[in-house]
Amino acid sequence: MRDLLKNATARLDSWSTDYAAVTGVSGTRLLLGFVGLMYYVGQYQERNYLFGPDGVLPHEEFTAQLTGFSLYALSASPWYFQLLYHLGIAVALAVTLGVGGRPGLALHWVLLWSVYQRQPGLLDGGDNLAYVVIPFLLLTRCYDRFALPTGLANRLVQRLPGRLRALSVPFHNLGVLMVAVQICLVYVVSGLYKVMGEEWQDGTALFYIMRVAEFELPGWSNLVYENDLLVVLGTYGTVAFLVYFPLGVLVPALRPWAAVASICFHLSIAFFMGLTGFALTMIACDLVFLSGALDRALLWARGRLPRTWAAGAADTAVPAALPEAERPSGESGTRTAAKPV
Amino acid sequence: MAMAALSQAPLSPAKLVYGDPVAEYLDPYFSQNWQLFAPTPVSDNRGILARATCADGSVTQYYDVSTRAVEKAQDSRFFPSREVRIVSAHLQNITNSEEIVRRIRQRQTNDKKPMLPPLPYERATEAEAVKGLSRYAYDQMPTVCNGKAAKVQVRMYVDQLPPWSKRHDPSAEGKVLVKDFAWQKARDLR
Repeated sequence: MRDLLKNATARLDSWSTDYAAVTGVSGTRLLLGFVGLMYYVGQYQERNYLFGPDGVLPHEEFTAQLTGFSLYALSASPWYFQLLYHLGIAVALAVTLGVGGRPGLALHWVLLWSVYQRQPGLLDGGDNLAYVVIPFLLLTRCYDRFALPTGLANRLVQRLPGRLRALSVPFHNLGVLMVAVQICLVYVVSGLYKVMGEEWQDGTALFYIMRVAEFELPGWSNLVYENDLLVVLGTYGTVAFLVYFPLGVLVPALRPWAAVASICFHLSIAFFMGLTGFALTMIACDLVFLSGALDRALLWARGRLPRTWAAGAADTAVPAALPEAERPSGESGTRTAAKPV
Repeated sequence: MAMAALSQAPLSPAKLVYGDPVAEYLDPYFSQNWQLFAPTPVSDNRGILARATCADGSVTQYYDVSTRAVEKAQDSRFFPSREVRIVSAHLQNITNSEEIVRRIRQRQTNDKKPMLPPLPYERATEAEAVKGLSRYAYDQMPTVCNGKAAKVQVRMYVDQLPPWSKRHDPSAEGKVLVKDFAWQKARDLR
Protein backbone atom coordinates (compact mmCIF):
# COMPACT_ATOMS: atom_id res chain seq x y z
CA MET A 1 0.00 0.00 0.00
CA ARG A 2 2.76 2.40 0.97
CA ASP A 3 4.59 1.54 -2.24
CA LEU A 4 1.47 2.27 -4.19
CA LEU A 5 1.07 5.65 -2.52
CA LYS A 6 4.72 6.47 -3.06
CA ASN A 7 4.36 5.54 -6.67
CA ALA A 8 1.31 7.74 -7.04
CA THR A 9 2.97 10.78 -5.47
CA ALA A 10 6.07 10.20 -7.57
CA ARG A 11 3.87 10.22 -10.63
CA LEU A 12 2.11 13.36 -9.49
CA ASP A 13 5.51 14.96 -8.94
CA SER A 14 6.72 14.07 -12.38
CA TRP A 15 3.40 15.31 -13.82
CA SER A 16 4.14 18.76 -12.41
CA THR A 17 7.92 18.89 -12.93
CA ASP A 18 8.82 16.89 -16.09
CA TYR A 19 7.76 17.78 -19.59
CA ALA A 20 6.48 14.63 -21.32
CA ALA A 21 6.90 13.85 -25.02
CA VAL A 22 8.35 17.25 -25.98
CA THR A 23 9.94 15.88 -29.15
CA GLY A 24 6.72 14.06 -30.01
CA VAL A 25 4.47 17.12 -29.82
CA SER A 26 7.08 19.19 -31.66
CA GLY A 27 6.86 16.63 -34.46
CA THR A 28 3.07 16.85 -34.31
CA ARG A 29 3.24 20.63 -34.65
CA LEU A 30 5.64 20.44 -37.60
CA LEU A 31 3.62 17.85 -39.51
CA LEU A 32 0.27 19.54 -38.83
CA GLY A 33 1.79 22.81 -40.03
CA PHE A 34 2.94 21.10 -43.21
CA VAL A 35 -0.48 19.54 -43.91
CA GLY A 36 -2.11 22.94 -43.34
CA LEU A 37 0.41 24.54 -45.69
CA MET A 38 -0.36 21.94 -48.34
CA TYR A 39 -4.10 22.60 -47.97
CA TYR A 40 -3.39 26.11 -49.25
CA VAL A 41 -0.62 25.27 -51.71
CA GLY A 42 -2.29 22.16 -53.14
CA GLN A 43 -5.36 24.18 -54.07
CA TYR A 44 -3.54 27.38 -54.99
CA GLN A 45 -4.39 27.19 -58.71
CA GLU A 46 -8.07 26.67 -57.95
CA ARG A 47 -8.30 29.02 -54.98
CA ASN A 48 -10.51 31.60 -56.69
CA TYR A 49 -13.08 29.03 -57.76
CA LEU A 50 -13.09 27.00 -54.54
CA PHE A 51 -12.79 29.77 -51.94
CA GLY A 52 -13.11 33.10 -53.71
CA PRO A 53 -16.05 35.54 -53.33
CA ASP A 54 -17.18 34.85 -56.93
CA GLY A 55 -16.42 31.13 -56.87
CA VAL A 56 -18.59 28.04 -56.67
CA LEU A 57 -20.04 29.22 -53.34
CA PRO A 58 -20.72 32.95 -53.83
CA HIS A 59 -19.99 35.20 -50.86
CA GLU A 60 -23.65 35.96 -50.16
CA GLU A 61 -24.67 32.31 -49.90
CA PHE A 62 -21.55 31.50 -47.93
CA THR A 63 -22.35 34.04 -45.22
CA ALA A 64 -25.95 32.81 -45.09
CA GLN A 65 -24.85 29.19 -44.52
CA LEU A 66 -21.99 29.91 -42.14
CA THR A 67 -22.06 28.51 -38.60
CA GLY A 68 -19.36 29.81 -36.27
CA PHE A 69 -16.98 32.40 -37.63
CA SER A 70 -14.79 32.76 -40.67
CA LEU A 71 -12.51 35.68 -41.44
CA TYR A 72 -13.45 35.19 -45.10
CA ALA A 73 -17.00 36.33 -44.25
CA LEU A 74 -15.86 39.83 -43.26
CA SER A 75 -15.56 41.24 -46.77
CA ALA A 76 -16.62 40.25 -50.29
CA SER A 77 -13.67 42.09 -51.84
CA PRO A 78 -11.42 39.89 -54.04
CA TRP A 79 -8.38 41.76 -52.68
CA TYR A 80 -9.29 40.95 -49.12
CA PHE A 81 -9.70 37.31 -50.10
CA GLN A 82 -6.24 37.20 -51.74
CA LEU A 83 -4.67 38.90 -48.73
CA LEU A 84 -6.20 36.44 -46.29
CA TYR A 85 -5.31 33.38 -48.37
CA HIS A 86 -1.67 34.44 -48.77
CA LEU A 87 -1.44 35.36 -45.10
CA GLY A 88 -2.69 31.82 -44.39
CA ILE A 89 0.17 30.37 -46.46
CA ALA A 90 2.77 32.50 -44.68
CA VAL A 91 1.51 31.59 -41.21
CA ALA A 92 1.26 27.87 -42.06
CA LEU A 93 4.86 27.99 -43.31
CA ALA A 94 5.94 29.68 -40.07
CA VAL A 95 4.26 26.93 -38.02
CA THR A 96 6.01 24.26 -40.10
CA LEU A 97 9.42 25.88 -39.67
CA GLY A 98 8.84 26.55 -36.00
CA VAL A 99 8.90 30.34 -36.16
CA GLY A 100 6.48 32.53 -34.24
CA GLY A 101 5.81 30.25 -31.29
CA ARG A 102 2.41 29.51 -29.88
CA PRO A 103 0.85 32.89 -30.77
CA GLY A 104 1.68 32.00 -34.38
CA LEU A 105 0.05 28.62 -33.93
CA ALA A 106 -3.10 30.28 -32.55
CA LEU A 107 -3.21 32.60 -35.55
CA HIS A 108 -2.74 29.58 -37.84
CA TRP A 109 -5.74 27.89 -36.23
CA VAL A 110 -7.91 30.98 -36.80
CA LEU A 111 -6.90 31.25 -40.47
CA LEU A 112 -7.20 27.51 -41.09
CA TRP A 113 -10.63 27.33 -39.46
CA SER A 114 -11.67 30.27 -41.64
CA VAL A 115 -10.59 28.66 -44.89
CA TYR A 116 -12.16 25.32 -43.84
CA GLN A 117 -15.49 27.03 -43.22
CA ARG A 118 -15.27 28.85 -46.54
CA GLN A 119 -15.90 25.51 -48.28
CA PRO A 120 -16.88 22.83 -45.72
CA GLY A 121 -17.66 20.25 -48.42
CA LEU A 122 -13.94 19.78 -49.09
CA LEU A 123 -13.14 18.65 -45.55
CA ASP A 124 -12.39 15.15 -44.32
CA GLY A 125 -11.54 13.48 -41.01
CA GLY A 126 -7.98 14.78 -41.21
CA ASP A 127 -9.07 18.41 -41.25
CA ASN A 128 -11.52 17.67 -38.45
CA LEU A 129 -8.74 16.18 -36.32
CA ALA A 130 -6.43 19.10 -37.11
CA TYR A 131 -8.82 21.79 -35.89
CA VAL A 132 -9.64 19.79 -32.75
CA VAL A 133 -6.01 19.05 -31.85
CA ILE A 134 -4.30 22.41 -32.54
CA PRO A 135 -5.93 24.06 -29.47
CA PHE A 136 -4.50 21.22 -27.33
CA LEU A 137 -1.07 21.83 -28.83
CA LEU A 138 -1.31 25.45 -27.70
CA LEU A 139 -0.89 24.18 -24.13
CA THR A 140 2.33 22.33 -24.94
CA ARG A 141 5.98 23.17 -25.57
CA CYS A 142 5.62 22.10 -29.17
CA TYR A 143 8.26 24.58 -30.37
CA ASP A 144 11.10 23.11 -28.30
CA ARG A 145 12.39 20.88 -31.12
CA PHE A 146 12.37 20.98 -34.91
CA ALA A 147 12.22 24.77 -34.78
CA LEU A 148 14.35 27.57 -36.14
CA PRO A 149 15.69 29.36 -33.06
CA THR A 150 14.77 33.02 -32.77
CA GLY A 151 15.32 33.61 -29.06
CA LEU A 152 12.57 36.20 -28.90
CA ALA A 153 10.13 33.88 -27.18
CA ASN A 154 12.73 32.97 -24.55
CA ARG A 155 13.37 36.60 -23.73
CA LEU A 156 9.65 37.26 -23.35
CA VAL A 157 9.16 34.22 -21.11
CA GLN A 158 11.92 35.37 -18.75
CA ARG A 159 9.82 38.41 -17.90
CA LEU A 160 6.95 36.30 -16.57
CA PRO A 161 6.82 35.70 -12.80
CA GLY A 162 8.25 32.33 -11.75
CA ARG A 163 4.97 31.07 -10.31
CA LEU A 164 3.30 31.49 -13.67
CA ARG A 165 6.18 29.81 -15.47
CA ALA A 166 5.95 26.76 -13.19
CA LEU A 167 2.40 26.20 -14.39
CA SER A 168 3.74 25.57 -17.85
CA VAL A 169 4.68 21.96 -16.98
CA PRO A 170 1.26 20.65 -15.92
CA PHE A 171 -0.39 22.53 -18.79
CA HIS A 172 2.07 20.99 -21.23
CA ASN A 173 1.37 17.50 -19.87
CA LEU A 174 -2.36 18.11 -19.97
CA GLY A 175 -2.07 19.11 -23.63
CA VAL A 176 -0.07 15.97 -24.47
CA LEU A 177 -2.60 13.84 -22.61
CA MET A 178 -5.49 15.45 -24.52
CA VAL A 179 -3.85 14.78 -27.88
CA ALA A 180 -3.31 11.16 -26.82
CA VAL A 181 -6.89 10.70 -25.58
CA GLN A 182 -8.27 12.37 -28.71
CA ILE A 183 -6.40 10.07 -31.09
CA CYS A 184 -7.51 7.01 -29.06
CA LEU A 185 -11.10 8.25 -29.33
CA VAL A 186 -10.75 8.50 -33.10
CA TYR A 187 -9.48 4.93 -33.37
CA VAL A 188 -11.97 3.33 -31.00
CA VAL A 189 -15.00 5.11 -32.44
CA SER A 190 -14.09 4.36 -36.04
CA GLY A 191 -13.34 0.76 -35.02
CA LEU A 192 -16.63 0.29 -33.14
CA TYR A 193 -18.73 1.65 -35.99
CA LYS A 194 -16.94 -0.75 -38.31
CA VAL A 195 -17.74 -3.69 -36.01
CA MET A 196 -21.42 -2.75 -36.46
CA GLY A 197 -21.24 -2.90 -40.26
CA GLU A 198 -22.21 -6.02 -42.17
CA GLU A 199 -19.43 -5.80 -44.73
CA TRP A 200 -16.83 -5.29 -42.00
CA GLN A 201 -18.15 -8.41 -40.23
CA ASP A 202 -18.02 -10.37 -43.50
CA GLY A 203 -14.44 -9.29 -44.13
CA THR A 204 -15.35 -7.82 -47.53
CA ALA A 205 -15.47 -4.08 -46.76
CA LEU A 206 -12.08 -3.38 -48.32
CA PHE A 207 -13.30 -4.96 -51.58
CA TYR A 208 -16.17 -2.46 -51.76
CA ILE A 209 -14.28 0.67 -50.74
CA MET A 210 -11.27 0.18 -52.99
CA ARG A 211 -13.36 -0.07 -56.17
CA VAL A 212 -15.05 3.31 -55.68
CA ALA A 213 -13.53 5.65 -58.23
CA GLU A 214 -13.10 8.56 -55.82
CA PHE A 215 -10.81 6.41 -53.62
CA GLU A 216 -9.16 4.28 -56.28
CA LEU A 217 -5.63 4.26 -57.65
CA PRO A 218 -6.06 2.77 -61.14
CA GLY A 219 -3.61 -0.03 -61.83
CA TRP A 220 -2.82 -0.61 -58.14
CA SER A 221 -6.04 -0.87 -56.12
CA ASN A 222 -7.21 -3.88 -58.15
CA LEU A 223 -4.09 -5.81 -57.06
CA VAL A 224 -5.57 -5.71 -53.57
CA TYR A 225 -9.31 -6.03 -54.15
CA GLU A 226 -8.95 -8.90 -56.63
CA ASN A 227 -7.01 -10.90 -54.04
CA ASP A 228 -9.47 -12.56 -51.64
CA LEU A 229 -6.90 -13.21 -48.93
CA LEU A 230 -5.65 -9.60 -48.90
CA VAL A 231 -9.21 -8.27 -48.73
CA VAL A 232 -10.21 -10.45 -45.77
CA LEU A 233 -6.94 -9.97 -43.87
CA GLY A 234 -6.98 -6.23 -44.58
CA THR A 235 -10.59 -5.79 -43.44
CA TYR A 236 -10.27 -7.78 -40.22
CA GLY A 237 -6.80 -6.37 -39.57
CA THR A 238 -8.13 -2.81 -39.86
CA VAL A 239 -10.96 -3.40 -37.38
CA ALA A 240 -8.76 -5.28 -34.89
CA PHE A 241 -6.07 -2.62 -35.07
CA LEU A 242 -8.49 0.30 -34.61
CA VAL A 243 -10.35 -1.23 -31.66
CA TYR A 244 -7.22 -2.37 -29.81
CA PHE A 245 -5.06 0.68 -30.48
CA PRO A 246 -5.65 2.25 -27.01
CA LEU A 247 -4.53 -0.98 -25.34
CA GLY A 248 -1.37 -0.94 -27.44
CA VAL A 249 -0.76 2.60 -26.23
CA LEU A 250 -1.44 1.87 -22.55
CA VAL A 251 1.24 -0.81 -22.36
CA PRO A 252 4.58 1.04 -22.65
CA ALA A 253 6.35 -1.91 -24.28
CA LEU A 254 3.75 -2.06 -27.05
CA ARG A 255 3.49 1.71 -27.52
CA PRO A 256 6.07 2.24 -30.30
CA TRP A 257 4.74 -0.82 -32.14
CA ALA A 258 1.17 0.48 -32.02
CA ALA A 259 2.37 3.83 -33.34
CA VAL A 260 4.47 2.26 -36.10
CA ALA A 261 1.55 0.01 -37.13
CA SER A 262 -0.63 3.10 -37.31
CA ILE A 263 1.90 4.95 -39.45
CA CYS A 264 2.12 2.04 -41.92
CA PHE A 265 -1.68 1.76 -41.99
CA HIS A 266 -2.06 5.44 -42.84
CA LEU A 267 0.73 5.48 -45.40
CA SER A 268 -1.14 2.76 -47.29
CA ILE A 269 -4.33 4.83 -47.06
CA ALA A 270 -2.44 7.78 -48.50
CA PHE A 271 -1.11 5.67 -51.36
CA PHE A 272 -4.17 3.64 -52.34
CA MET A 273 -6.95 6.06 -51.49
CA GLY A 274 -5.25 9.39 -52.17
CA LEU A 275 -6.10 10.77 -48.72
CA THR A 276 -2.67 12.32 -48.13
CA GLY A 277 -3.80 15.09 -45.80
CA PHE A 278 -5.88 12.75 -43.65
CA ALA A 279 -3.09 10.16 -43.40
CA LEU A 280 -0.39 12.69 -42.46
CA THR A 281 -2.64 14.31 -39.84
CA MET A 282 -3.19 10.94 -38.16
CA ILE A 283 0.55 10.23 -38.32
CA ALA A 284 1.27 13.65 -36.81
CA CYS A 285 -0.84 12.77 -33.77
CA ASP A 286 0.76 9.31 -33.49
CA LEU A 287 4.11 11.04 -32.98
CA VAL A 288 3.24 11.87 -29.35
CA PHE A 289 3.66 8.14 -28.68
CA LEU A 290 7.03 8.02 -30.42
CA SER A 291 8.80 10.79 -28.53
CA GLY A 292 11.60 8.57 -27.18
CA ALA A 293 12.24 6.98 -30.55
CA LEU A 294 12.31 10.42 -32.19
CA ASP A 295 14.87 11.60 -29.63
CA ARG A 296 17.12 8.65 -30.41
CA ALA A 297 16.70 9.23 -34.14
CA LEU A 298 17.67 12.89 -33.68
CA LEU A 299 20.81 12.00 -31.72
CA TRP A 300 21.75 9.41 -34.30
CA ALA A 301 21.22 11.87 -37.16
CA ARG A 302 23.30 14.51 -35.38
CA GLY A 303 26.17 12.09 -35.01
CA ARG A 304 26.24 11.72 -38.75
CA LEU A 305 25.84 15.33 -39.82
CA PRO A 306 28.83 17.50 -40.75
CA ARG A 307 30.31 19.13 -37.65
CA THR A 308 29.29 22.74 -38.42
CA TRP A 309 25.65 21.71 -38.76
CA ALA A 310 25.70 19.69 -35.61
CA ALA A 311 27.27 22.54 -33.64
CA GLY A 312 24.56 24.95 -34.73
CA ALA A 313 21.78 22.57 -33.80
CA ALA A 314 23.41 21.53 -30.55
CA ASP A 315 23.07 25.02 -29.05
CA THR A 316 19.34 24.79 -28.89
CA ALA A 317 18.26 21.20 -28.65
CA VAL A 318 20.83 18.69 -27.44
CA PRO A 319 21.11 19.55 -23.74
CA ALA A 320 17.36 19.36 -23.31
CA ALA A 321 17.01 16.24 -25.43
CA LEU A 322 19.55 14.19 -23.54
CA PRO A 323 17.85 13.50 -20.22
CA GLU A 324 14.76 12.18 -21.91
CA ALA A 325 16.66 9.93 -24.26
CA GLU A 326 18.71 8.54 -21.41
CA ARG A 327 15.77 7.40 -19.38
CA PRO A 328 15.71 3.63 -18.92
CA SER A 329 12.59 3.17 -21.04
CA GLY A 330 12.87 5.55 -23.94
CA GLU A 331 9.25 5.41 -24.99
CA SER A 332 8.04 6.54 -21.61
CA GLY A 333 8.19 10.07 -22.92
CA THR A 334 4.40 9.86 -22.76
CA ARG A 335 4.33 7.98 -19.49
CA THR A 336 1.85 10.44 -18.07
CA ALA A 337 -0.33 10.12 -21.10
CA ALA A 338 -0.75 6.42 -20.43
CA LYS A 339 -2.30 6.90 -17.04
CA PRO A 340 -6.00 6.10 -16.93
CA VAL A 341 -7.95 9.30 -16.55
CA MET B 1 -13.11 14.54 -23.53
CA ALA B 2 -15.99 12.56 -22.04
CA MET B 3 -18.40 14.79 -23.92
CA ALA B 4 -16.51 14.28 -27.16
CA ALA B 5 -16.72 10.53 -26.53
CA LEU B 6 -20.49 10.67 -25.96
CA SER B 7 -21.00 12.72 -29.10
CA GLN B 8 -19.24 9.96 -31.04
CA ALA B 9 -20.92 6.99 -29.39
CA PRO B 10 -23.50 4.96 -31.34
CA LEU B 11 -27.15 5.88 -30.76
CA SER B 12 -28.15 4.85 -27.22
CA PRO B 13 -30.64 5.89 -24.52
CA ALA B 14 -27.96 8.09 -22.93
CA LYS B 15 -27.30 9.75 -26.24
CA LEU B 16 -30.99 10.44 -26.83
CA VAL B 17 -31.15 12.32 -23.52
CA TYR B 18 -27.75 14.06 -23.37
CA GLY B 19 -26.72 14.05 -27.03
CA ASP B 20 -28.21 17.39 -28.03
CA PRO B 21 -26.85 19.58 -25.17
CA VAL B 22 -23.44 17.94 -25.55
CA ALA B 23 -23.39 18.48 -29.31
CA GLU B 24 -24.38 22.09 -28.71
CA TYR B 25 -21.49 22.56 -26.30
CA LEU B 26 -18.94 21.05 -28.68
CA ASP B 27 -20.32 22.84 -31.73
CA PRO B 28 -18.72 24.08 -33.86
CA TYR B 29 -15.08 24.19 -32.82
CA PHE B 30 -14.80 20.73 -31.26
CA SER B 31 -17.47 18.95 -33.27
CA GLN B 32 -16.20 15.71 -34.76
CA ASN B 33 -17.21 12.70 -36.81
CA TRP B 34 -15.18 9.51 -36.85
CA GLN B 35 -17.46 7.08 -38.63
CA LEU B 36 -14.91 6.89 -41.50
CA PHE B 37 -16.30 4.34 -43.98
CA ALA B 38 -18.48 2.73 -41.30
CA PRO B 39 -20.77 1.06 -40.47
CA THR B 40 -21.57 0.65 -44.17
CA PRO B 41 -18.57 1.23 -46.45
CA VAL B 42 -19.16 3.15 -49.68
CA SER B 43 -19.81 0.64 -52.42
CA ASP B 44 -21.10 2.75 -55.28
CA ASN B 45 -19.93 5.45 -57.64
CA ARG B 46 -22.02 8.56 -57.27
CA GLY B 47 -21.96 11.53 -59.52
CA ILE B 48 -23.98 13.91 -61.63
CA LEU B 49 -24.85 14.53 -65.26
CA ALA B 50 -26.43 17.76 -66.41
CA ARG B 51 -28.26 19.18 -69.39
CA ALA B 52 -29.28 22.68 -70.34
CA THR B 53 -32.15 24.47 -72.04
CA CYS B 54 -30.96 27.13 -74.46
CA ALA B 55 -32.61 30.50 -75.03
CA ASP B 56 -34.49 29.14 -78.08
CA GLY B 57 -36.06 26.37 -75.98
CA SER B 58 -33.96 23.48 -77.33
CA VAL B 59 -32.70 20.98 -74.76
CA THR B 60 -29.10 19.72 -74.96
CA GLN B 61 -27.64 16.24 -74.44
CA TYR B 62 -26.51 15.15 -70.99
CA TYR B 63 -23.01 16.28 -70.09
CA ASP B 64 -20.81 14.20 -67.75
CA VAL B 65 -19.99 16.63 -64.95
CA SER B 66 -18.30 14.34 -62.41
CA THR B 67 -15.70 12.35 -64.31
CA ARG B 68 -13.19 15.14 -64.88
CA ALA B 69 -12.86 15.87 -61.15
CA VAL B 70 -12.60 12.15 -60.30
CA GLU B 71 -9.73 11.75 -62.78
CA LYS B 72 -8.07 14.82 -61.30
CA ALA B 73 -8.18 13.17 -57.86
CA GLN B 74 -6.75 9.89 -59.20
CA ASP B 75 -4.03 11.76 -61.02
CA SER B 76 -1.87 12.46 -57.97
CA ARG B 77 -1.03 10.70 -54.71
CA PHE B 78 0.54 13.77 -53.13
CA PHE B 79 -2.29 15.97 -51.86
CA PRO B 80 -4.56 15.27 -54.85
CA SER B 81 -7.26 17.71 -55.94
CA ARG B 82 -10.31 17.85 -53.69
CA GLU B 83 -12.60 19.30 -56.34
CA VAL B 84 -14.45 15.96 -56.60
CA ARG B 85 -15.70 16.51 -53.07
CA ILE B 86 -17.84 19.48 -54.12
CA VAL B 87 -20.17 17.01 -55.81
CA SER B 88 -19.88 14.18 -53.28
CA ALA B 89 -20.52 16.50 -50.31
CA HIS B 90 -23.73 17.85 -51.90
CA LEU B 91 -24.88 14.32 -52.79
CA GLN B 92 -24.20 13.20 -49.25
CA ASN B 93 -26.34 16.05 -47.91
CA ILE B 94 -29.16 14.88 -50.17
CA THR B 95 -28.98 11.15 -49.41
CA ASN B 96 -28.01 11.12 -45.72
CA SER B 97 -30.52 11.54 -42.95
CA GLU B 98 -30.12 11.68 -39.21
CA GLU B 99 -29.64 8.31 -37.53
CA ILE B 100 -32.89 8.41 -35.53
CA VAL B 101 -34.97 9.49 -38.57
CA ARG B 102 -33.29 6.83 -40.68
CA ARG B 103 -34.25 4.12 -38.18
CA ILE B 104 -37.87 5.30 -38.04
CA ARG B 105 -38.12 5.16 -41.82
CA GLN B 106 -36.50 1.74 -41.94
CA ARG B 107 -39.00 0.38 -39.44
CA GLN B 108 -41.88 1.88 -41.42
CA THR B 109 -40.61 0.22 -44.60
CA ASN B 110 -40.31 -3.12 -42.80
CA ASP B 111 -43.84 -2.80 -41.35
CA LYS B 112 -45.15 -1.68 -44.76
CA LYS B 113 -46.51 1.48 -43.16
CA PRO B 114 -46.58 4.88 -44.89
CA MET B 115 -43.12 6.44 -44.79
CA LEU B 116 -42.33 9.64 -42.91
CA PRO B 117 -42.23 12.42 -45.54
CA PRO B 118 -39.10 14.61 -45.81
CA LEU B 119 -38.89 16.96 -42.83
CA PRO B 120 -38.76 20.72 -43.46
CA TYR B 121 -35.05 20.96 -42.67
CA GLU B 122 -34.36 18.00 -44.96
CA ARG B 123 -36.17 19.79 -47.78
CA ALA B 124 -34.17 22.97 -47.13
CA THR B 125 -30.90 21.03 -47.15
CA GLU B 126 -31.80 19.35 -50.42
CA ALA B 127 -32.78 22.64 -52.07
CA GLU B 128 -29.44 24.15 -51.02
CA ALA B 129 -27.54 21.12 -52.33
CA VAL B 130 -29.39 21.08 -55.66
CA LYS B 131 -28.60 24.76 -56.16
CA GLY B 132 -24.93 24.13 -55.39
CA LEU B 133 -24.77 21.17 -57.77
CA SER B 134 -26.55 23.08 -60.53
CA ARG B 135 -24.14 25.99 -60.24
CA TYR B 136 -21.14 23.68 -60.36
CA ALA B 137 -22.60 21.86 -63.40
CA TYR B 138 -23.35 25.19 -65.11
CA ASP B 139 -19.74 26.31 -64.57
CA GLN B 140 -18.45 23.00 -65.95
CA MET B 141 -20.20 23.40 -69.31
CA PRO B 142 -19.28 26.92 -70.39
CA THR B 143 -19.64 26.23 -74.13
CA VAL B 144 -23.15 24.80 -74.01
CA CYS B 145 -25.77 26.88 -75.93
CA ASN B 146 -22.87 29.14 -76.99
CA GLY B 147 -22.46 30.13 -73.37
CA LYS B 148 -26.07 31.28 -73.02
CA ALA B 149 -27.92 28.47 -71.26
CA ALA B 150 -31.24 29.59 -69.80
CA LYS B 151 -31.85 26.65 -67.47
CA VAL B 152 -29.86 23.74 -66.07
CA GLN B 153 -31.05 20.38 -64.81
CA VAL B 154 -28.94 18.00 -62.73
CA ARG B 155 -29.33 14.22 -62.81
CA MET B 156 -27.81 12.27 -59.93
CA TYR B 157 -26.69 8.70 -60.54
CA VAL B 158 -25.78 5.98 -58.07
CA ASP B 159 -23.89 3.14 -59.74
CA GLN B 160 -23.97 0.19 -57.35
CA LEU B 161 -20.95 -1.95 -58.18
CA PRO B 162 -21.37 -5.75 -58.45
CA PRO B 163 -21.27 -7.47 -55.04
CA TRP B 164 -18.50 -9.68 -53.68
CA SER B 165 -20.43 -12.85 -54.58
CA LYS B 166 -20.18 -11.93 -58.28
CA ARG B 167 -16.52 -10.91 -58.25
CA HIS B 168 -15.49 -13.73 -60.62
CA ASP B 169 -18.35 -13.17 -63.04
CA PRO B 170 -17.08 -10.89 -65.84
CA SER B 171 -20.60 -10.32 -67.15
CA ALA B 172 -21.85 -9.01 -63.78
CA GLU B 173 -23.09 -5.46 -64.01
CA GLY B 174 -23.94 -2.96 -61.35
CA LYS B 175 -27.34 -1.46 -60.80
CA VAL B 176 -27.73 2.18 -61.72
CA LEU B 177 -30.25 4.38 -59.93
CA VAL B 178 -31.06 7.81 -61.31
CA LYS B 179 -32.82 10.85 -59.90
CA ASP B 180 -33.59 14.08 -61.76
CA PHE B 181 -33.81 17.33 -59.86
CA ALA B 182 -35.83 20.41 -60.76
CA TRP B 183 -34.65 22.76 -63.50
CA GLN B 184 -32.75 25.77 -62.16
CA LYS B 185 -32.72 29.15 -63.91
CA ALA B 186 -29.22 30.18 -64.95
CA ARG B 187 -29.68 33.73 -63.70
CA ASP B 188 -30.42 32.42 -60.20
CA LEU B 189 -27.11 30.57 -60.29
CA ARG B 190 -24.77 33.28 -61.58
